[in-house]
Amino acid sequence: MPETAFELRSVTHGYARARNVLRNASLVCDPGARIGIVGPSGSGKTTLLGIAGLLIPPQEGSVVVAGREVHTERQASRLRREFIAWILQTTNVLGDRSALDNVAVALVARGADPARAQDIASRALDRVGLTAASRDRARNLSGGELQRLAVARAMATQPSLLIADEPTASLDAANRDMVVDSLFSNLPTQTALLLASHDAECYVHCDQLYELRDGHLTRMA
Amino acid sequence: MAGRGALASLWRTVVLILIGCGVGLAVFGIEASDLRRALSEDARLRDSGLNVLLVEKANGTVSANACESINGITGVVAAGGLRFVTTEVVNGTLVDVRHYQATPRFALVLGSGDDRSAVFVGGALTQRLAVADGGWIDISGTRLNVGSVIQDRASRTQQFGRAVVVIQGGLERLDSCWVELHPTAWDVAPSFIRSRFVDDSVGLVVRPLIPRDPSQLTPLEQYHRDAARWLWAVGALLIVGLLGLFIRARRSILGLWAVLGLRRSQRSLVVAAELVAPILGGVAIAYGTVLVAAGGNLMSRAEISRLTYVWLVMIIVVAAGYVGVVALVDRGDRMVLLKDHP
Repeated sequence: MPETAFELRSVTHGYARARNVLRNASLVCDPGARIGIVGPSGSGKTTLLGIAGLLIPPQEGSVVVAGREVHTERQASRLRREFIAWILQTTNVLGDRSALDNVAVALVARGADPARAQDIASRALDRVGLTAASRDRARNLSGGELQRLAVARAMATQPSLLIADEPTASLDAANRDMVVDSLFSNLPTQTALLLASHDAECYVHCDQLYELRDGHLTRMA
Repeated sequence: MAGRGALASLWRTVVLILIGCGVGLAVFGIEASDLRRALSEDARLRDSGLNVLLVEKANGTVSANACESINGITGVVAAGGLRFVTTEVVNGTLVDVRHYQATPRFALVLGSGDDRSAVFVGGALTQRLAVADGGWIDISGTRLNVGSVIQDRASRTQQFGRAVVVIQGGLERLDSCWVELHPTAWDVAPSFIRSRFVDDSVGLVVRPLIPRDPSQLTPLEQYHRDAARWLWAVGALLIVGLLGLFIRARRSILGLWAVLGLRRSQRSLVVAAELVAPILGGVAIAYGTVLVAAGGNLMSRAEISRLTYVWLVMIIVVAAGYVGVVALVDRGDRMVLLKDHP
């Protein structure tokens, strides 16, 4: 087990329209830590998560995942596959496939045997209360079910780092509670969580909060 | 995993197959039709003697042995010669008949496909005398069994309408030697033909049966220069364009695959199975359909090889285009892709 789940080291990043989304941001996340990122819309939370999750290479600074500093896309791809799982703000599922397939695909992508992947996927769906819908096509699921499906998919892979970007966006209170509950009750102890949300309910379970404002990342008391 | 994606969205797969099939049918259908027309026109010209050379002497004869010896040379379809004997009246009528004697292989140059019969009679003459294959004809006091009728084949046989050609072994001298060539041997033929007629070299004339303008293209040559030759490129680009649109529409899914940890090669495989394979499958169906549709009227090897060439080139172009499209999509910001997803 590496000493840290991931580290951002003096990361600076921007876009043509927003040059300094992140300015010299540093963050150390230990295994099992629950870190919440707070900030207004457009403050760069998704960019921060994208860099931490190795989807966006930072313009300056470096990222360390599972003790390894990332230099190439090939390396990033392997680390994403081995250590990182995502729950996204949009309903990112394969709509044509069944709920079971959506979870199993993530495991097969990590090299699991397809039959074993189906078995693990089935248990993961069971834990988030989607057993009955496991054979339904993902496009036929409700918004709350889709987010629970995303939780199941993320949990099934037993990631070292789980990144959740607005996991309860556009959900009603009942569905939000179900998603938050399924997320935190199923989160393995050693899995670090990096969470960005506008929903205060999500932060209740976090042990560290950081605020992102004007490109600066600061730890909140 | 990749194949299941294609099955999971059956409607998309069917649409892609239909698109590939439609483009393929248009390309292969037009190609086959144009090529068939060119081949047919080319065959008609060849049949009339486009590739036949005549070897003669201005005032004299040429060696029958030299003429026969040309057979077997690479590029020579058949060579045979003939000697005019006389014009006479046959079967007791007042019909003028031109009587020729010919070497055995001349029957092949006449294009009858019959190299076993000994007596060939012109079409006009058989009609006039009402004799057919297997009938009898009296000539020079001899009763001959008609082996084959010389079919009218324009320039090649126009002088034999009212002729009787008798295949005769042991001829020594000929009025002319006829050499049918493969088109590819046309340019080099005169020199190797002359080399066989060493004893007759003085005054030897080697000329085409049908006068040719070197700058004039045959129908097949014209076809190869024609715009239809590039129809496959239009078809392939159309497919690549449609493929690009489909891939673009699914770029958020590509982003999702990346988030799930699939390598670039794995993501490309997924796209290949879900999008490229159905389209190319449709093109393959079109290829097979065009071949089967021509089944009753069997395609020549040239047509099949041409369509196969078009098919292979289309695959290469589509594959290259696909790699380019995937690379372009993959360069996009994955977070943007993910946020774009509905």
